[in-house]
Amino acid sequence: MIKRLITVVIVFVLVAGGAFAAGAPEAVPEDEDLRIALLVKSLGNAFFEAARDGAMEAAEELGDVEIIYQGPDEPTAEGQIEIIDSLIAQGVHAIAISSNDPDALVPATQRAQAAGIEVVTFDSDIHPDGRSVFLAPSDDELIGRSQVQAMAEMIDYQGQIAILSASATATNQNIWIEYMQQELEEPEYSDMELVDIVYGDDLSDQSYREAMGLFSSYPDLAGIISPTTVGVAATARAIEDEGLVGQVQLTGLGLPSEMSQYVQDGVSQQVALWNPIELGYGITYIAYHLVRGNAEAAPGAVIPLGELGEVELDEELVTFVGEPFVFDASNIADFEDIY
Amino acid sequence: MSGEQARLAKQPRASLGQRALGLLVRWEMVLFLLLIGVFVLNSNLSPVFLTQRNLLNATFSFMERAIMALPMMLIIISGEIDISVAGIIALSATAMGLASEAGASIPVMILVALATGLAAGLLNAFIVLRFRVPSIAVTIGSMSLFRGVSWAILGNQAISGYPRELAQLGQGTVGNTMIPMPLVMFACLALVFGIVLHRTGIGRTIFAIGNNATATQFSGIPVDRYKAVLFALNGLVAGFAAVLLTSRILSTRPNIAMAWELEVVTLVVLGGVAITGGKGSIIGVVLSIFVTGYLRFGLSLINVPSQVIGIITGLLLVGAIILPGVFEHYSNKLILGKQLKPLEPQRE
Amino acid sequence: MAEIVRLENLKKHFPGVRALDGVSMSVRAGEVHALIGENGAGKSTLVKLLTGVHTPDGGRILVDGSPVELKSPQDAHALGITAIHQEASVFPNLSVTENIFMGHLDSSGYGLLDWKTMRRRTEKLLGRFGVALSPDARVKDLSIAQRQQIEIVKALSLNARVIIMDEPTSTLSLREIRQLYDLVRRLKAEGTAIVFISHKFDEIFEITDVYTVLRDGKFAGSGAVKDATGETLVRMMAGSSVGGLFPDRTPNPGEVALQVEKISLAGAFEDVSFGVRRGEIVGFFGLIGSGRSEVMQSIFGVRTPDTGRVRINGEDLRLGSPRDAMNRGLVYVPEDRQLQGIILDMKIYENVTLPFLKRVTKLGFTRRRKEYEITEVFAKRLSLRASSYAQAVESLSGGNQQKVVLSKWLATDPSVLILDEPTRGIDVGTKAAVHQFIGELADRGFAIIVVSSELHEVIGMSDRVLVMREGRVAGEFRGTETSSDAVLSTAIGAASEHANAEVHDVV
Repeated sequence: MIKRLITVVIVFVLVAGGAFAAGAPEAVPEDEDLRIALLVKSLGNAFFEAARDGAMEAAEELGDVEIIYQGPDEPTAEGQIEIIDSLIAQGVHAIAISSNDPDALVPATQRAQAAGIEVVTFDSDIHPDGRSVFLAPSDDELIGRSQVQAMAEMIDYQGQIAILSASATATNQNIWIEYMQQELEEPEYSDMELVDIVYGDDLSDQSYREAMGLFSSYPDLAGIISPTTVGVAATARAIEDEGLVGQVQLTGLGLPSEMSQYVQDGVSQQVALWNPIELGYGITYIAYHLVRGNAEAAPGAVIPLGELGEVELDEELVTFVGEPFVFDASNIADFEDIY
Repeated sequence: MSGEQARLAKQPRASLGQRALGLLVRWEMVLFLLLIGVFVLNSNLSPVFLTQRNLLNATFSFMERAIMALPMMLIIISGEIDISVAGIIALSATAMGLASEAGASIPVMILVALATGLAAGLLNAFIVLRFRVPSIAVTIGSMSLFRGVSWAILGNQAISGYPRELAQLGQGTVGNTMIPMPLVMFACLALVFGIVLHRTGIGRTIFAIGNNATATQFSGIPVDRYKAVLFALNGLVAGFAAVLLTSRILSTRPNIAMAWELEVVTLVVLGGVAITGGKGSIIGVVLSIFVTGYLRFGLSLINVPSQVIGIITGLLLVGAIILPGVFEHYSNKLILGKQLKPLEPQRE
Repeated sequence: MAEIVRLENLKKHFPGVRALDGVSMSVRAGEVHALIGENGAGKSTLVKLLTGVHTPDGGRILVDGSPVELKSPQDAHALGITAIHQEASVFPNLSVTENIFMGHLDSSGYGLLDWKTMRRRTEKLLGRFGVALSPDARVKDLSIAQRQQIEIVKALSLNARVIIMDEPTSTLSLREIRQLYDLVRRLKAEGTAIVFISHKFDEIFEITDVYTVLRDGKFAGSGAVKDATGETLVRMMAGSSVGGLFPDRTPNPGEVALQVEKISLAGAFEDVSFGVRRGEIVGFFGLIGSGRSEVMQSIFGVRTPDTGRVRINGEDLRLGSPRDAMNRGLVYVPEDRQLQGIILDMKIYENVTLPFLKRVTKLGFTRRRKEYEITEVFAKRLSLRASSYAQAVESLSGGNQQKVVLSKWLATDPSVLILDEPTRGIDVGTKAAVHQFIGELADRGFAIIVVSSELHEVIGMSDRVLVMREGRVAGEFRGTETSSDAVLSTAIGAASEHANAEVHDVV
């Protein structure tokens, strides 16, 4: 048995060592097509499929780009690392990642960088040590402030409002809520009062119960802001079930596919969300220009993003595409099949 | 009579042709051919598959599962199963993360992970043996329990900020070579597990328990004690896998190693270990680890979507359960002309 | 009586084995046909040919005078040939009615099952054959005997004309055996043909009409049972006249080796005390459920008695620890060989050395040469027949499997040997060899307990017989006072004329 084991190992090593091939790719010649991998949190997610469509669009415009769309079947860091390793082995030119873990991917992306691969991130960042540019979905401050502005217009700048968030520990949610509170301190909102912040943990039924709780605790509640796709959909259902349409206003970050009917029925006049198509489109341009050497990943650098115009990198090499895209009754039906 | 006895005392004899045939139609040989098939296929599909660097680097991503397959092999051979391994990894990694946050040194963190794994394994053993509940039921429950505790502690948060030196264990290579550290650890452990299983009284006893626990107990062997040790060992090795995984990704979330239990069981069963216990070999399991690992790697090199890889893994599991049995059925017929076992219960 | 099935010159080869070589047999309506032969004589192969599990290589099978090809059990069923297996293949969670009609459910014409009709038919069938069972009883609540009756009734519901019973009584109690005989007699009266495979001469003489004997796959003789004697049958089976089945020996008991004092286990036995001396064979007799095996398992330690103590050679045994018992020289050869005695898928030498692996390993590593040496000593002593010590035990005959079990325990160098049903399921020739061997062991100073439900074996082997009934020792017999009548009536706690009916002196 042991002898056989050794034989197997020897044969295996021989087979494995039988061929040697090139290691890291050299500088990319002008006439070579670029292979850019879009590595998303997990496959089977409509949001990322929309981002892929944007990337494809950019690839078509640029002409000499091939897009590889990949992601693990479970949204885990291990799954993404496995794919990064295979992308390194394939010698792609760039990897654009929406990550499941800001730290866990860093060793793998650093290996990729060491192999000469350009690593950029979009939508969900990793630690700056492991990437060059991050294309944020939108600016945190813009997201926070614009939602308060939208709500204020719906309720005529007066009345009680509440926030229904995801979990109390989610970093991005807390940043947005902070900006919402800052915005509310401006003088034009003096007649508006933020009465409560509740957490639905991004679970549909729990968010629904939290919304119900708000209705009974604050009978005069004028509006709810829910900066999470799960929360805003659950709140819309709660408003409709309780017959409070028109009495309690709603806005937040919502997927057109989930919110279309509610927006068209007037449960919510408008929701916002960044546009994944633009994210995929933009990050492809960024990766392309970095690999081709047309742009440099340095603070203050300006990168052209095709139809989206230009973006400028900040101190931490972060940039964003634009304001959150607003969906209302006039346009939401156009997007409901997309994401 | 003495002539007859002398003949008996010899090793089992068979004609050279029969022996060659016997070797050819072993399940391990099928796996070996499969492995070669995977290599040939992949090197044709992707020019970068057959490079030393890539073949070695690819092992990084499946060595934790490979190491988990070793104690799982012993457990399944003994007629039990532990579905909670991935849960134990999550729990051990969480404990390790908490230790790291509390400022523990690397050796202490490793000890914490190992101790947590060991404790989880002992808990499984206690429930299975004390209350006589089938291990599959117990460990499905404890799988949720272990991962649930991890969720309760971490929630949506991740623990990171592990010391950089920790990375050497799970990401490093040996000296100046390209040989991954985890691969070397796996090789050493596989050797130890193989020797214990096939060359020692302990291994013999594990086979005996899996074949017929009652008769083994009637032979004066403390069957429960053996099973308890196997569950504890499984927990301990899961703790070790948690250390390697943490060292590789330097971050801990409650969803790490998600669904690995099935992949580990697949590796073992595809390796020819009977899911009903009593049969299996280290060579089969080692081969099945590399067959599956390189199949996955090859498929991802040509960017096959991960769901499709998932489907292929699922098919492998189903095939793994059916094929070795079917295979043995026909190979016995072929070599020994053994009478096939009838499907209905028969006397004699 | 009309002939239903005729077998002509049947042949069947398996690679390397001529399993059946030119066997002919005639099965007639209303007749119980005993199929007799040692293990490996070809009985099972014959049954498999008859039920379509295998197809013959030569010869023909005729049903109602015309040749048929039986390619599957379904073909055999269609012609009314059914085998009742020992481990009845019933569905434990379903009712009696459901079990009987499983596979051929009645429907009322709308695709719905017509349980009412099926239940009524079940009731009628049960009544017709005197089976006292409710059609609604759950099968899991029934005894093995009752399950067997259900299998038979199921076969009848399928209009079976030939029913093959393979050692149907081996797991039944005396009362249940009686009920089975009643059922067989009713079937006979209705014109069903029965092929009855058995090792026990008493039941052959009690219930069968004609016999066919097989030896080494060949036809060895047939005739009417009423003209046969046990001796003639044994001669046909063994090929030559065998001597007395039991060894002649003069007991020479030494000092007490095993002393059992007032052990009790709730629900199994109570207050059992006895002693066994060196060189003595003590027989234990009792009906199934009398607690004899439980007592032995408690002494060995695979069960733990609630109270009492056991001493071996004057030293107290740690109860509940088989290892301690082994270390002190007490071993138990269990009654259920395949479940408790051996590991079928493992090799002969692996089975033999399992209880004392420490002795054959060095630094934990197994040493095959050492294992072969030890195996050889006992295989020789017991004339174990195998092609190699690395052969899987599964491929051995029942008798040789039992020799492996005996080798395994003798190799632990015991001084007290408990043998629970040492000859169950073994053919006659091997039985005599095992008996001879037990006698030799006693002469060499072993203290031996023989537990058996075969009365003549207990009486023939033992120097002293203890009878158990309902968990207690109900009587003790020694020397000349030991008569079948007395032992049996003590065991069943009834008058001796009842006992007479149960016993047939065999050889």
